[in-house]
Parts: sequence; structure tokens; C-alpha cells
Amino acid sequence: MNDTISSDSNVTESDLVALRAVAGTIIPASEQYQIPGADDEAIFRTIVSLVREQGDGTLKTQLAELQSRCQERHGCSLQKLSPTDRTSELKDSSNARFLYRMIHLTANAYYQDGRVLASIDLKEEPPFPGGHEVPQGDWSLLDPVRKREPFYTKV
Amino acid sequence: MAEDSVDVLIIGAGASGAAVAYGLAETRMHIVCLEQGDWMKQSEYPTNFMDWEARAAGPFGNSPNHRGRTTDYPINEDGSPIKVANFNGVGGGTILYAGHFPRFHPSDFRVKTLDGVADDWPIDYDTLAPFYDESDRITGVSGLEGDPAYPPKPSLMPPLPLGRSGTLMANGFNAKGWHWWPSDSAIATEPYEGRDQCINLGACTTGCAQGAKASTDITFWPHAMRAGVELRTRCRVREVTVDDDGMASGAIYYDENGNEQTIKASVVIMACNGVGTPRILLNSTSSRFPNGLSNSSGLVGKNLMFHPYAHIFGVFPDEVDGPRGPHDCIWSQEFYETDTDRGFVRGFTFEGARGHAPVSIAVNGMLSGDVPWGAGHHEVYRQRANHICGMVAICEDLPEAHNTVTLDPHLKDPDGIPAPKLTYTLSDNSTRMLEFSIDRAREVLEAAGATSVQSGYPIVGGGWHLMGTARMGTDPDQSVVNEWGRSHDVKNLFIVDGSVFVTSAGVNPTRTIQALALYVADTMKQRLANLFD
Ligand SMILES: Cc1cc2nc3c(=O)[nH]c(=O)nc-3n(C[C@H](O)[C@H](O)[C@H](O)COP(=O)(O)OP(=O)(O)OC[C@H]3O[C@@H](n4cnc5c(N)ncnc54)[C@H](O)[C@@H]3O)c2cc1C
Repeated sequence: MNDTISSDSNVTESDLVALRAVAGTIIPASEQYQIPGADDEAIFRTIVSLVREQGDGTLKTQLAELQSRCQERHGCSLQKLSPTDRTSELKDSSNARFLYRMIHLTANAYYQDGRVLASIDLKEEPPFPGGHEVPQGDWSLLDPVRKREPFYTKV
Repeated sequence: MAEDSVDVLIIGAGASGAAVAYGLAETRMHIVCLEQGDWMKQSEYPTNFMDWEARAAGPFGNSPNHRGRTTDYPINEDGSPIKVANFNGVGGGTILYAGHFPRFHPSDFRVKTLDGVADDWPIDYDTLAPFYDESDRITGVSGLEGDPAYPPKPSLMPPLPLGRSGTLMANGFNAKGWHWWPSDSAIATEPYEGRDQCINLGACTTGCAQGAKASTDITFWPHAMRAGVELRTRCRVREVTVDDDGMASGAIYYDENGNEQTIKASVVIMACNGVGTPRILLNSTSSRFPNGLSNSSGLVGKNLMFHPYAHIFGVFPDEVDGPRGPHDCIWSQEFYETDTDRGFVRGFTFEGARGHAPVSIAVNGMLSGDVPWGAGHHEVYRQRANHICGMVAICEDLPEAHNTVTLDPHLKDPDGIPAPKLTYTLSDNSTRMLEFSIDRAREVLEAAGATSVQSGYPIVGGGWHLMGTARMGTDPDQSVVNEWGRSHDVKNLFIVDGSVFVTSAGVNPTRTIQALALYVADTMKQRLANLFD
């Protein structure tokens, strides 16, 4: 993962492991829908590049605070927690800002992945140049409105 | 260096600047437009990329405060529950606009006479009608003739498709017996004057990579430039200058290197929008005009109007268009004209929305708690993705003097020009209208089969329409410009953007802004011999 974080980045390898675990907790893989979780390698790489673009300072601080609370409460790091404990730790109100940011990052990276988009009947490519088909619809639905007299106020 | 001197200086290359440049081009006068932003490239618009939603929230976002382009200026909007949405570049706000393209109604110009509120306009629908037609022709408007909510008006291309979302909502409106009609749209549904037709990219408000949406950089500007108008980008005007006779003499601006430049002009036309224009006028102080230019009435920056919006969306068991297809779809003007039994005056338009894009469904759903994160995410997400559609209500905002644009004493743009500061409160009339609109929209969506409905108001980032801050009128004490856009105080200064609106109507403003700019240009041409009398 190092290649996707700029050299002057504050985020360490162990931070990345934790962030990846959080991403996979927010959007887990699904066997039922045959889709990866947000901790998938390619999707997480997108998360990392978003972090890099937006600046990682605040996220780093928030993660450090979360990790120290984890140590206090559970005696281990966030990534070592069971999925259930990790979920309840993230739900703790003291982590609200971190969670808010991670939801943004995770959703942005996850729902631009071609595999994920295909699974919700959207194209695995950018909207342009292919565009989309939109059915014309049945214009006879307009018949009752066509029958109305003009009803704008005449001045 | 030779003195930079022109006949006509236009400040701002957005909707109104483009239209007035086009309107005046045939005079063959030396016309220069200064624009602080850049030309846009269709190949850089977000829909060219997989991460288009992230880009749409970044450099192509609506808010100048968050977009952070050097071509933007900051706005202090702490004092307003509605935040400005704009774009600074050739085409102005039309780069990002949805392309909803309604005309005003005849009643919109007569609200004082009809409802005893605000003021009548000094012009009427019939005055603007030929200029609406001209603007429509250059823009390329799609729609369907015969809408009973309007006087007859031409349509140049077939309407946008109803799609699945439009069909659902049409059924809802029909079940209630209420008006709906395909929206007039500035989106080409057929190849039009060198522009390609819409291919339903579905992200019109991030810039149209197909070029089907009529942003003025690809409509009015090419015509105006072919006719000789010069457009200079990265030129940010600080102030309009005046001579000893109290006439506008040109402007001082910063070029792309931040160097101060002076340009002389016989006529100056402001086209910086309802926030940018009062900002520059208020910043143009002199011993003769200590309170800003054209401000003897004290009304520059007053009467700021947005359109307060409500949003009402339903979840449907059937699949809807979602992110596929343009934002424009159908509209309803059942509640457009005043009916005092509703508890408010004036009215609103419902604008159908085809649905939401995948990232925004996930982010908004997870943050609101509607879509869980963690276990259960996928199941609920799939009930939302391509299953949400609805509408917004665009409500007429009445002018109130305490809603203002002033100069911020501290905040400045990258060239050191004072930033605008907004002070705005939602009126009781607007609040009642918004709540009424939500109740009616809920009825429509439920009649259409929605299993749940979510709503809210105002749309915080929805300050798309900026109006009223240099209104037109015949009385110099009650208005800033006369009935053809000329300043009462400075006879060679004109304003053509949304600032001159007397009232806001309950529809999007750009078709009227462009028609007004063409009307002002036409009046100037008719009066060229005695323009300053
Ligand atoms: C996301 C979005 C969606 C919208 N949807 C719709 C819609 O569906 N229908 C509709 O009718 N309207 C819509 N609008 C509004 C529409 O874009 C505006 O009504 C229209 O662009 C206003 O035209 P204007 O000429 O008054 O100002 P603008 O188009 O804002 O142009 C002003 C120009 O002046 C320039 N400028 C400002 N200050 C200076 C300065 N000091 N020096 C040099 N240049 C300067 C700016 O850079 C800008 O390019 C939307 C807007 C946005 C942002």
C-alpha cells in the first residue's frame, strides 16, 4: 500500500491496516450479492488515494484517539477487535467525526467500483461517452392534463 | 503601452453577460468582456471518470467556499440558512445548472396589483415574450407545446423522456387530478446547431460532457465572439471607475498574474449575478459615490432573493431512473398562482427528480441512519438504489429589505477584494409555502405507490438563484436601474443579471435573465443615439 500514500504522509502502515478494517466494517463483503467489501484491495486503494487528496492530518489524529480508547477499553488495537466489538466501538459517540469521514471515504470509493455498480444494474464505466437508456414512457398519461382549460392568471 | 479603451465593457461572462454580448454584437462596437474564471473543457467534466461523484463534490461542487478554485471568490454566508451555489468561469452558473428552463408567468410581473405584496415590475410578460423567443432559439429549448399553465409558447425540440421516474410521478399527479407537464429544458433532445443530443449521462449539474446542455459558453458565446466580441478570462474586476461627470469610465481589474490593470469604457454593463454585482458596486466607492456606485436609493445589495426549496422523495418498490437521465423531467404548476385559502401568497413549482446517484444514496443513507452501515447494509441499500425518486418545490421568495449582500469587513478574495457577506432569513410566507408543498408532494408520491417518503426544507446548499439586489423600477428612490436596465444614477452603467429582478417568481430564473439581457441590449440599440439622455 505504501505506493499510494505520498512520502510526506503521516499515515503509517499500521494506520492503514486499521483504516482497512474500518472500511470493511462499514461496508462488508456479501456472499449473497457476490460483491467485495470496502476492504477489497482495489477499493481500499481508492480510499487511500482519496485520503491523500483530501489531506490525512485530521484523520490521523482522530484514528490515534480512537486507538488509544481501544487500548484502554479492550487492551488491543481497533484492527484486532472482533467485528462486533469494532462495530460498537465505532458507534461510540466520541468517534462520530471519524466515522462521518470514514463513511464518506468508504462510500465514495466503494460505489465507484465497476463490480459494485454492475451488481446494482449500473454500467461498469463512466457515464460518458456511453450514456444511459431512458424509456420514453407513455405520453398518453398526459391526456387528462391536455383537456384542462388554461388556468394561468391573465393580467 | 497603448491605453486599453473600449466602447462597451461587460463584467461577467455567465448567462446574462453572454446574452448581452450576443445582443450587442451586431453593433460592431468594440466590446470586451472581463471574466474572472476560465473556459471549461468538456473532457474534464466529472462524467468522463468513474469517480464522477467525488469530482462533483470537489472541483465541480456548487459551493464557491468548498470548491476552492483560485478563480472563485469566498462568500461569508454564516448569516444565511441558504448557501450560495454558483460557478465562476465562462458560462457562469450555466456550467453547473440543471437546465430547467421555465418562463415566468404573466402574473409574476404584477404581484403588487394581484396580491398586494412586493412590487410590480416596470415591464410585463408581453415585453419580454419576443426576447424569450430569441433566447430560446440560441439556447435550444426542448419541451411540449400546449401547457395549460402558460400562455402559448414555442417548443423547438421534443421533450426529454418521461422515463420510469416521470411515469410514476405522472401517475401520482393524475391520481390527484393535478397539473403536470414535461419540463421545458435547456437540454437538446435532437442535434441542435452543432450540439449533440442528450444521451442521459445523468449528472447535468456537474457540467455536460456531451455538450447537450445549453451552457452559454457553447451557445451565446461562440456567436458573440464570431461577431467580434472579445472575451478575456482570468480578469477579476475590483471596481468600476467614474469620471468627473459622475459617468462610469471603465474598471480596475487584476489579470491572471495578479497585476492591477485599468480599462476605459464608454459603457459598462454589470453581469456578475445577484451577489457578484452588488459586491462590485458596493466596492466602487468614490467621493461622488461614497456608498457605492448607483446606490443613491440605498438599495444596492438589499432585497436579496433565493428560491427556498423543499425536497420530497419517496422509496418505490418498482425500479426508477435513479442516476440515469437528466435531472429535468416533469413539473407541476398546480399550486403556482395565489390561493389565499392555502395560508400564503404566491406559489411554487414542483420539479420532478429522477433519482439519486449511488454514492449520494450511500452517504446520505448511512449518515441519516436510513441505510445501515455494517451488517444489513447491502439489503437496505438495494431497496434504495434505483428505487428513490421524487421532487423539489421551488417557492417564490418575496423581496425583503433586510435580506442583504454587503461587503465583509475581513474576508477577501485571492486578489484582496472584499468578499460579499449575506444576511438572509426565511420569511413566514415562505415557511408556510414550503410546508404546504411538502404535504402535497407527499400525497402525490403516496398516490404513485411510495412505501416511504422523506422530506425537508430548506435545501441548505440550494442558493442557486441570486436575485433582487439591484432591482429595476421607474422610481429612482425605489430602484437601482430603470425599466431597461440603465442605472438611475450613472447613465452609462447597465445591469443585466438577476440583480434587477423585482420579484423572483416560483420558477428557475435563467430563461428570464437571458431574455432580460437581450431586451436590455435591444433597447440600447434602439436608443444608441441618445443612450445617456
Ligand atoms: C448547480 C446549479 C444548478 C442550477 N440550476 C438551474 C436551473 O435548472 N435553471 C435555472 O434557470 N437556473 C439554474 N441555476 C442558476 C443559473 O446558473 C443562474 O441563474 C445563472 O447562471 C445566472 O446568470 P448570471 O449572468 O446572473 O450570473 P452567472 O451565470 O453566475 O455569471 C456571473 C459571472 O460573473 C463572473 N464574475 C463575478 N464577479 C466578477 C468579477 N469581479 N470580475 C470578473 N468576473 C466576475 C463570474 O465568474 C461568473 O462567471 C443553477 C445554478 C447552479 C450553480
